[in-house]
This record gives sequence, C-alpha cells and structure tokens, in this order.
Amino acid sequence: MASQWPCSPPSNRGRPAPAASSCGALPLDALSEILLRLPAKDLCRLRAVCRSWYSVTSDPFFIGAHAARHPGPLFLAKFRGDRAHIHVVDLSGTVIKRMPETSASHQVLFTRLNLACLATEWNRCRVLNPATGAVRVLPEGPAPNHVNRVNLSNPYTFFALGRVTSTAVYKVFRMFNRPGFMSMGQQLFELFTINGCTDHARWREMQSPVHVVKPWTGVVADGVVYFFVMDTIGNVIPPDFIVSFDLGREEWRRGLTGPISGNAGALEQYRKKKAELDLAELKGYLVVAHYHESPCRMDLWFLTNFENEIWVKEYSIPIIQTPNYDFCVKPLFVLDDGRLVLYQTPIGQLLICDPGANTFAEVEMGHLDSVGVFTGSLLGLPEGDVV
Amino acid sequence: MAAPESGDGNNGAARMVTLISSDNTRFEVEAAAASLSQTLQLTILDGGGGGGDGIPLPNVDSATLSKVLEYCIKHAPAAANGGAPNATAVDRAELERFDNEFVNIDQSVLYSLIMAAHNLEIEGLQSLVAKKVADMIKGKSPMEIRRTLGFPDPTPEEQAEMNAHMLEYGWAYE
Repeated sequence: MASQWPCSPPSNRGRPAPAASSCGALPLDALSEILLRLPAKDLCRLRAVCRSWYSVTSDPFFIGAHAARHPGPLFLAKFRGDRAHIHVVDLSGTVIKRMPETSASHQVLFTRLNLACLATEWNRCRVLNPATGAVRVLPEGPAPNHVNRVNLSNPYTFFALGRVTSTAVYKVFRMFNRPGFMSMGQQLFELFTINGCTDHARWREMQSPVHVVKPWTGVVADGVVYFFVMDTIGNVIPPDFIVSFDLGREEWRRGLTGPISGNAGALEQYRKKKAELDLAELKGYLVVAHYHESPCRMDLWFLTNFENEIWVKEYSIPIIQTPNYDFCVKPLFVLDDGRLVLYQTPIGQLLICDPGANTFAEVEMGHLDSVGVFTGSLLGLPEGDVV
Repeated sequence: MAAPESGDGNNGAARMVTLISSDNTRFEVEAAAASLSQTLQLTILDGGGGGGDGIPLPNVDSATLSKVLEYCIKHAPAAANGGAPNATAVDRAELERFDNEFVNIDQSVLYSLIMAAHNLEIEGLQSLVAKKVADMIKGKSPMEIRRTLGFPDPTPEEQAEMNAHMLEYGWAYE
C-alpha cells in the first residue's frame, strides 16, 4: 500500500528529477504545485531561497507549465518618460521587470517572440533576451560583398527579427537603403543568424527582390518578412502588392496580391488618399490593415493561405481619424477571447478593443515610445538561452 | 466480470471502508469519500478495506488522517456529481468557506497535510494546501520565506549565494 514518502517522487514526465529539496523536504511535485501558483517575479526572487528551489524553477518543464498557467500577454515597452529602461509590463499596466537601456534612441521593434530587437534607423541593432537581460550587439559592418556599396557614415537601415519555426533559429534581417535610392539607388539586404551554426554569426549578403520595397511597412509573420512595394517609373503597382522574404529558406518568394486589389471602389479611395494600408502580424498571420473613410473603419484582412492568396476579413473596427488623414492605430495583439490590443502611435497608448461590443478601453500606463510583445517566460527560455 | 461483494452486503446503506493510521487507529468512512484518494481508489474498487480488513496507511498518523477525512467527507458529494455542475451558488460558497477555514491551521499540521495529500493523491486537497502555502510565500523576500517555512538559517556559503542572487535579480526585489 502506502510506501515511504518519496524524496524524489516518481516522475511521469520522463525527466530526471532535480535533487530533493534540502530545506523543508517537500516532495518535488508538491513543491512544484505550490510554486506554479506564484507570478514569475516572485519566482525569480525566491530562486534565492535555496538550491533546490532554484533548480525546480529553472527546469524547462516547470517553465513550460508555468507559462501555460500564466498566459500573459506581456509587453516590452520603452516609455517616453524613461528612455533609460526597457520595461516588461502586463495588460493591467503593472511593471513586472525593468532593465537598463544604454541607448535612448533605440526603439523596440514590433515582434511577438521570446527575444526582443532594439534598433535605430542608422544601423544600430541589439537583440535582447528579456528573461536574462543578456544583450547581443550586432556588428555594424556590412556583409563582405557590400563593403564598398554601403555608406557607413550615413546609413539608413531597416531591421527585423524573426524566428524560423522549423529550426527555432532566430535571424535578424537588415536592409540598407542607399542614399538617393528613391531615384536611382539600390536596396541591399543582409541576414544575421543569432543562434545555431556559429560560422553564420556574421552579416551575410542576400539577393534583392525585383521591386523596391517600402521599408517602413516591413513586418515579420511566422518567419517571413513582408513589405509593400514602391511604384517604379512607368509602372504602377497595386498599393496592396506584397513581396516577402523567407527567413528559413533565405530567399524571396513570389509577389502576392493583397485583399483590396479586386475592389475598384477601395482602390479609388486609396488613390484619392481617403484610405491607407499597413501591414501587421496577428496570431502568426500576415495582416493587411485597411483604413478607410465613410464609414471610418479599420478592416483587418488575415492571409490564411499564401499559395492561393486567400484573405479573410476577421475584424472591422470603427476608428477615429486625425484631421490630416493620418490613421494611426496599429493592431498589436489578439487576446484569447478575441479582443484586440491596439497601439495608438501618436500618443503612445495601448487600447483594448472588444470588437463584439465595439468598446475601447485604455490600458493605464505611461506613454510609450515603442512596444513589442514578449511571448517568453521571465523564468528563462524553454529553448535555452540563445542570447 | 462482476465486482466482488463488498463486506457488509447491505445494498441500501452506503458502502463503508476502514482505514488504519500509522498509530493503529481505525477510521470507518464511506467508500465514496475515501475514493477521493487516487491511491486508495483502485484498492476500494477491488473490494479492499471492507469488513474487518481495513487498509493500512503506515505514513499517515491519526491526527492527520482525521483531518484528511474531514476534507474528503465534505467534498465527496460534490465530487460524486462530477465536479458538481448542478451545484448551487450556496453550495459552492459553503465549500469555499469550509476550505478557507480548513487550511487556517498550524504550520506543522499544514506540512503533514501536504505530505498526506501528496501521498494519497487527493487532487483537490493538493491544490488547496498548495494555494495556502503559495499565499504564505507571495511577496516575501527569500529570508522571510525561509523563516516563514521554518528552514534552518543559511550557512555562510548559502548566504553568499543569496546575496549574489539579489544582485543578479535586483529587478525582482523592486
């Protein structure tokens, strides 16, 4: 029947159990059951209680179970009032973690990953592991073949961080816009692998697409970087035409027609500057945000199938437009219950939109300089420390 | 295959089983209540614990077992309803009141309950005691936690590790 109290209870998860608790001598399963209930900030503090508590809370299975029990979301925020720190905040506006930030001018890129990317438009880029606070500064020098083609004294750059799902490899995508590229210049593309193969830990030259991309529209969804493109001389391209670069295969994919190209009325509105288009990532999908007047709404089109170019309008939200036709609400995140977290760029505020009830609630926090979503656990990375 | 006849053979009354604590005290309790323990459930299904036999629990003393059974008897009707989807708000509030009162106990008793709930695999009781300990820990510093839970004072080496940790995780202490 009942056996001795086990020091290391039999594990049904096929993992070696860490050493039994030296203090208190609680069975590890019972200890885990207690600690799983505490928020990550408490756990990071009580890792100091004793070695066995440290090892329990550092176990990848524990970290995974804790993340499942405390689903977040967490945001990485840089506040206008405090550019010397990066904050991890939750949706109640509570600051959970604060990390020193050496540069006031780096912005948090829009990502939804376990890592964060901070960059400027003048070729500075760092990758941050919010769990450990570790920072990787990426080299400024270009890929070997680009050495004489980049003006490093006055660069204009675009960065994007993405994760290749199949390999769990993080890569940073960099684009140099050469001076004067609007008329004659050329855009140069490079890739930097963060983890995995070490001889890839340098900037590598990538091919350029046929089109000239609009760098400010760049967004990463499920390991692919997407851009809208510019009209070229004598060749008018539909405003929702999209090119994309696959970070895993390291190649450009064929062009993609957006959701409004087939709608003459919508195109006409766009040409009259009564509509705007933007790209976003939600739930792992590429999303085209179509802002338009009368009625003034933001339609969110999800790309559900790349091969067949299938777009599904999942949201249509009433928005307020500023007088100069600037639509400045960016979709940031979809909560489990379908509510949307929106980012009001001019004032740097997060809004929670309930599309069913058409209500908006402001998240109580300081005005944001820039923001991203943190999907990882503050206890550490389940996939190991890649930075 | 038919289940073995269970001791008293009286189909009208609820089936009873006997549990024997480490200090040889016998507890007679309804099978439905004892079956909240995953560990006991199979034995009871097999017809064990009835009649004069009794199930020995060599690691649970009588004080702890009596407390555990108090919990099981209170929760058995709701558990029999499959988590009580039909339970009224009043029933749920009453169980909640009972639970709160139940863990309002001396720390040594709480510790014995954690061990017993773990060993007998009584899921509801495991979460209840875990929640209680989590509430005791929440918001405290590592030293306060050690004192609260009655851990021995850290050795100089452990103290040095704790100090180093405070530096590394300074943000968590803010």
